[in-house]
Amino acid sequence: MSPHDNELQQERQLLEHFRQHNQGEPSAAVDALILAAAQRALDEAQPRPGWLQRLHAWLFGAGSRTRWSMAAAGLAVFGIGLNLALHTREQLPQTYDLPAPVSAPALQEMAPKAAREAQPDSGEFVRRKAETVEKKAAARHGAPEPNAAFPVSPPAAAAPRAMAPARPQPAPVETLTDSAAADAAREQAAAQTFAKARSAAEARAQAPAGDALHEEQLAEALGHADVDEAPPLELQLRNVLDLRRAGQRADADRLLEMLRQQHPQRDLDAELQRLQEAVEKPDSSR
Amino acid sequence: MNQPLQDDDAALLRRYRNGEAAAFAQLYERHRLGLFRFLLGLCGDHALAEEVFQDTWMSLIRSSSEQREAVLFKTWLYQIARNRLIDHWRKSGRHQGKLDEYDEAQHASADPGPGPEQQLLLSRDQERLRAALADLPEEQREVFLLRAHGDLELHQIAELTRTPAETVKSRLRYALNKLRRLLADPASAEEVSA
Repeated sequence: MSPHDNELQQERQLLEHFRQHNQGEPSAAVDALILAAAQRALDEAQPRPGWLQRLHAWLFGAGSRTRWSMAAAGLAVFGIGLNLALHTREQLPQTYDLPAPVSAPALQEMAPKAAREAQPDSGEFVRRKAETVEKKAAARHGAPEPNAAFPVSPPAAAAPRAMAPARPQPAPVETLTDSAAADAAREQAAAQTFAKARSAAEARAQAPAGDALHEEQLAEALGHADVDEAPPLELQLRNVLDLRRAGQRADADRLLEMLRQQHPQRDLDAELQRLQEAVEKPDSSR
Repeated sequence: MNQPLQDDDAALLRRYRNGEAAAFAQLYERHRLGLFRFLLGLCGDHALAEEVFQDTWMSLIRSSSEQREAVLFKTWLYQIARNRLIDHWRKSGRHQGKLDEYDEAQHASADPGPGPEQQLLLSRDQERLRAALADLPEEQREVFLLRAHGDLELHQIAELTRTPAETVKSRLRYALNKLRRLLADPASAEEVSA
């Protein structure tokens, strides 16, 4: 063995001896502190994900199926709500603009009018009558001028009411409570009107040359000057007969055609014939 | 022989930098005892050795830079520990008298080295080991500790201490000779010589 090899062997023995018999080591507290610091440094060094990564994790990460379901449900509810709101909004004006049944306003308006006519001496009645006349005049200025021969033509008067939006009925309860009395009053008023019309027709038959005075008398007799409701059918048929007698056949035909449209279920020709006979009978008997 | 270990150390450090805490624990376990015994042998103070030991690992943890490929991780770690201890000595004003008074040439001629019969008679007494180590000059003790506990090669020690390789070699040889002489059992030596 060479001196160099001997020296290397001695060196190895001494180093190994030191390694084996050196007992120093760090405390457990230092070990824990260093390892905790390493872990903490890692936690702090972890970069916080950006908003895009967080959004991606939120959309497609854990629990994304529930989130998608909730989002779809929310969207569906929103769509249904929006659809309902728009649909209701479209329907509301149609509902309010629907014309009221032809018979309903006529009945409601006829009842108080007949009651008023039953008490003609009342000052309130006179005042309301004047207001009604003024309103009618104003409406005529705004609306197309009706035929001069029919200043109070019932269809022309009813047409704007049918076209106009239904007005809120004031005090419907009062109207309903008055309906029974109004029916009785209406019957009485119709009878009176019929009697007046008959007498006027007789008077006009005695003076066939129609003039303005006759027309005014007829209108007054019929109560049409301030009438704002449709007159009874029989009265209007008599009006047709009067017009025919006065030689205004075109106006008579036009009025008859309107009546046919209003009362398609009625045989107006037969009723006209019956009225004609009824009117002629007194004349013939005379 | 150290090449696989070197690769392992660098890989562990990389894994730790990438967020794997277990890699650091493995790296720490691998170098824990050697580094601490190196510091304890160098300063002789358990508390100071722990303080510098902790500082060293904290520096490694806080440092975000990757280890240079050309430098062995172990060399890097021991260099940090050595610099920390020197910094502490500078701050505390400790004067390394032995370092200044040590004359390598005188020791080189005076230490004939123990005979073969003395090698088996080395004392296993811990106090004698510690006392013998403390009796070594600073540079020789540092080289010996780096060789014994760091398992560093001479050229690595030369790089770490920024000392020529031949100087490191002679310092190690002087240290070994002196330790053999100090640790040799006098009674046994007398019996052999008689």
